[in-house]
Amino acid sequence: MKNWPILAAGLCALLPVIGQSSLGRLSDGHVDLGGPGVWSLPAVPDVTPHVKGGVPLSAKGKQVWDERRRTQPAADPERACLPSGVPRIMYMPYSMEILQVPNRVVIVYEGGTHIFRSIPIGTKAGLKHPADPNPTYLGDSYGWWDGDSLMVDVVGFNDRTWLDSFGHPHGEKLHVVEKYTRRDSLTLEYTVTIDDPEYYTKPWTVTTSATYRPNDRLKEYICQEQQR
Amino acid sequence: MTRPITSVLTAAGILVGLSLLSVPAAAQRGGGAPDPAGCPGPPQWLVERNAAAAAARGGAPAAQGAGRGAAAGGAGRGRGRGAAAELPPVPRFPNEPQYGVQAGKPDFGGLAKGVWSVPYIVNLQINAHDEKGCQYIYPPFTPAAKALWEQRELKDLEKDDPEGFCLPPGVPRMLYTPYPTQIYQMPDRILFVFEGGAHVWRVVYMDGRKLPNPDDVNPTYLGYSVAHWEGDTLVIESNGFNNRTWLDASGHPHGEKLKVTEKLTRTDFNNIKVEATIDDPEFYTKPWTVVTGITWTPNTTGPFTMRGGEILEYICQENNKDQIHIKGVLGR
Repeated sequence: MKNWPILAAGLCALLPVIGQSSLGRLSDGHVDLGGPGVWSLPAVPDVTPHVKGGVPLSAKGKQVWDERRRTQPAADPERACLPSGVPRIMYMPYSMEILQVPNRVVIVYEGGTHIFRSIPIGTKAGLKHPADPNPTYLGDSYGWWDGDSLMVDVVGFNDRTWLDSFGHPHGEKLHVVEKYTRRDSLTLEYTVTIDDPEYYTKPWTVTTSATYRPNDRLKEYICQEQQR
Repeated sequence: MTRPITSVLTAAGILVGLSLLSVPAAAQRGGGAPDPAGCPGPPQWLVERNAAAAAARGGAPAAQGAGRGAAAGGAGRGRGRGAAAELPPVPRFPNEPQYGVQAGKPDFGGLAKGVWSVPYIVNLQINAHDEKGCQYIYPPFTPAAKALWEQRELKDLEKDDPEGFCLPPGVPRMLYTPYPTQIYQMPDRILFVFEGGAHVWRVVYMDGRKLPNPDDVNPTYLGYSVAHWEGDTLVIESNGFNNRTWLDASGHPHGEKLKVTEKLTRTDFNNIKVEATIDDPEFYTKPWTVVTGITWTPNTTGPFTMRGGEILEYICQENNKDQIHIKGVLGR
């Protein structure tokens, strides 16, 4: 059949359109990142395999990471039932829901001690953080829509979390930019750019994805209940 | 598929912060105004405790209703000082289908800049009110429940409070633990987010589903909640609780058969009245009701200006140094 490459090309051109049209939208026009179910998050104990070109640890970063590789998991702050921080909360194998209200996105998590993140949404041009935020586990978040992707810029972290279970370090200068893109009804791509000049020689990017579980709901997991 | 989305009602929330606010009459009672006629007096244990405290001070009179925590007025305590009634009306969602069950109903402020201040209710017997407005509540204890409460409060002095382990306070105690909350109304559910109580969230389904048979759900700290509107009052029914929380810091007990009905009414711009009915036949001979209130704190006023109208991050377990000293369900 002589025409099949053309047909195939036509189909390929159509595919993104099909994918897009299958995504639900809210009345404000934004892609619905929720629905009648939950996002099942992957277990990512080590981000390295998800980083193109490897993790650019600085000398200090490598020193801390090596140390943690020897002592881990005993020193992992997660063992004290502290919040996982960002982006690690997306690397813990619990579920989450993304709830959209006007000018705000609230993400609720089953794990990481049943916590939530409340993210004000504006425009990219309006991106602003407090001048000197109190350092926190989850940081100060500000979000905007870039086409159909939800972008979240986060600073103001404390230095008490690890980036993953293997102990990739960060300090209070950590700057995280998250990108949430619903590729299809069942797939949420999560791309995060990590910038912390104290521990890394340049910004680096981790890409993982979450899978939708329709008709499920978040359970109640209380880490500190089991803490001994 | 298109899911509807709710609207923003921020302007009124910002404006109110700039004006002096009036205090509703019902709210002033928390400051020591008399109970309505026919209310019972203080419980015997409180009289004895106050007498003992007075004796320890060398006979000086004890403060009426002494005890930690603040008595919340029937409609919550107002925050302002002005006499002029310049409160904006209670904001509402437009009566349009995309708002789902919230259409035309009062907006509980989740979309405005601000937080709801939650009172510190240490002991339901003396720090709240009953549905008639009486300050002193006599819970209809079963004998075993009374003994358990006396052990926890009068003998152990509240030392085994599960909140000491940074566990979620449970329901209705989430609204008795003095960290702010925000309430987000979505077309098919309501989400509470809490600064304290381990920075947790609580979802309340409003898609018409019924409460589950409590035997069919895994018992949890926050239970399973569904809600509906009765006029302008949000009625939340919850069950499916575990038995690891106390109803207050004083240790009022409950078991897995607990059913809680919370009625939330935004009585004016600044106040949501919270009526919680406790129904647990294992521990109480009949349902009983506790009335408290939460108070709107806009971005621009009060002691919380620094929060920028947002919930802050409080992580109880970060500072949990007491765990090895206390006993209880999780103690060593």
